[in-house]
Amino acid sequence: MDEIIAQMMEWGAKYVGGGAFFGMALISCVFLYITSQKDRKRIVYPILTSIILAMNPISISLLFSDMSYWRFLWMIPDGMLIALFFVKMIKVCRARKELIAAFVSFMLIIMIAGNYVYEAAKFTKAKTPDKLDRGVKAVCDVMLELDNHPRAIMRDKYLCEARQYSGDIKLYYGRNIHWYITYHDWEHEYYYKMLESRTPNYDKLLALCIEEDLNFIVTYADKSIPENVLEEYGFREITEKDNSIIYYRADEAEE
Amino acid sequence: MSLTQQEKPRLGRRRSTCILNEKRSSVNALQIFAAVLFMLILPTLGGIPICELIKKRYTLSSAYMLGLLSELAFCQLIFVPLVLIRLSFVACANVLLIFIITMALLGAYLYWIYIKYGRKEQPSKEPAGWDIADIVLFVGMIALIVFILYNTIVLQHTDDDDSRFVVNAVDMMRTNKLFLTDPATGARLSYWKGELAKDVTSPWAIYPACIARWTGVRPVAAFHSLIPVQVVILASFVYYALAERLFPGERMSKSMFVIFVWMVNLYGFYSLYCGETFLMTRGWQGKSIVAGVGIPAMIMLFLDVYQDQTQRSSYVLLILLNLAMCLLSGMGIIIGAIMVASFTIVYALEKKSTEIGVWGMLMCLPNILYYAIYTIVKAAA
Repeated sequence: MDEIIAQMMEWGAKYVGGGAFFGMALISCVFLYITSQKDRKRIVYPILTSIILAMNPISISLLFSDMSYWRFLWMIPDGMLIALFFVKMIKVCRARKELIAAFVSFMLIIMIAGNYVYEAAKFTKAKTPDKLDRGVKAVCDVMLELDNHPRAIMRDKYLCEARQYSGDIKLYYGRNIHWYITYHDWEHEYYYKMLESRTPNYDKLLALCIEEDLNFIVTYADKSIPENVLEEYGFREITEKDNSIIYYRADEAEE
Repeated sequence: MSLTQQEKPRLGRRRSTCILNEKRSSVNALQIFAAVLFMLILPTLGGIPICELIKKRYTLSSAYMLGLLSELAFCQLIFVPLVLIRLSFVACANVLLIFIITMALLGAYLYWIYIKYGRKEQPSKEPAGWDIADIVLFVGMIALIVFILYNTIVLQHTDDDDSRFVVNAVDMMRTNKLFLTDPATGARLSYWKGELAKDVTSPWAIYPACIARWTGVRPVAAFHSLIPVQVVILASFVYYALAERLFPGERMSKSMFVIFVWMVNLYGFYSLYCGETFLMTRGWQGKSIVAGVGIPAMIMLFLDVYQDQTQRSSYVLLILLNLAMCLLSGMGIIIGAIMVASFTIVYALEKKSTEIGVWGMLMCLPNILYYAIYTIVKAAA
């Protein structure tokens, strides 16, 4: 139980971040509780009840062993509570100038206390409607031009986006390597770590490609595969894109 | 990007076995028109029969919200059994298309009747004239929403969770099978392993895949470019409708409310985990829509229940909303149930009403059922 509570506190702290918006939402709840019996009953009590139902140690231990339990804090609707509080405060003002000053002040409070998402979350300009990394697209385009159904082992950067770009691309390992989606395979992790290491053992990696019938290997540009290893396994360097080198082995039936 | 002759080794091309060919990245005017048709016009028309059924005024926002809500609820009711019996993706898409077109035709007919003969409607609660402050704030609200829509279209933000959500849609269009391809590797599966068990009871990826199929855009573009636009529009309507319950008849207050909510969303990047961050950085994902739209919508409908607990239409809409939340995400199944339980308990005690309690239990039934199905599917993997 102590462990669960400690975990709850840790996740809660991660969720609230700096605490400004969460604090404002709580102030709003207190304000509504004190000033309006109607809002107390129809808004504050249900929100509190939902948090108590979801986030007590018993519920956590019975239902939620997942680390994403902090999502239940979404049931405290920050935006709605803060907006409600601000509008009610503005409505207290009678003169138009007071109203404008209050409105502008609250807008400034939000802007100063918060982080502008388009900058803080590192949004970039989209070049295509796919909104995928251009480097990923460039590499995938090379592979798809050589083979309609590439079977590849790829460096970490491409694991999440290559198959979004084209489902025809098959990967030896994908995001499952990070314990997501389907199943985690220790052998996959072994080869993933090998490819990502400072000095990959390409002899083993290319041997894996032969064994698993993979015809592409995409690795870092500064960790190229030695020529003799390429020749031994029938791979050749195709091109360099996006700080990656693409190596390809033509299928025997097509040579 | 094409290779030079020297770079390109000579080899034969393997014939594609894809059922649905993928096109490279581009969207033309016809596809944009198709997107507007399937994502805005048809849902709006399809909402008119629901407005008629619950005796609501025919407004653009009500029709759109109710139309989309009925579509999503229908998706959940139909897709889960179809996934379990392993029907094809094309069959799912056709069933949904028939529903959407039927509702839209019915809506168009009802609207024609309305134009021709008029309709008994509840009077608007809004004052007749517009004050200068009303106009300024309303225009400001629209400007802010347009600004967010513009950024939603021109900016991009990548998220690793798309390696499951988006790839599921890519694979179902490619293989015509539902969630039976490993999104991580592309390998065929005989059963729904790992996180795919969640997709059986919350098959949200099918809806964007259907949009991709009908519009001709790539599924990744449907997710990243089309769905977020729809979500921003829907969220704006929900926030305004919520404001109508909180400040009935006060135009200025309603506009201010919506402006503040969007400003909190815009500046609410205070952690990677909060609802604002999810809505703004990955608004195409089901759980983000639950956080940014579903939860406020649920509060909005429960305020209607508080206002008049005898109005059955509110309960019916809550059931539809709960189904939609279940479709969007596994979190939607659980959060929906918890919120329904919480509001029901508080309101039933406050109003001393068994009717609210009974409806609350009915509303939770879909969540219990889907959670049970998920547990069984996961255990059997």
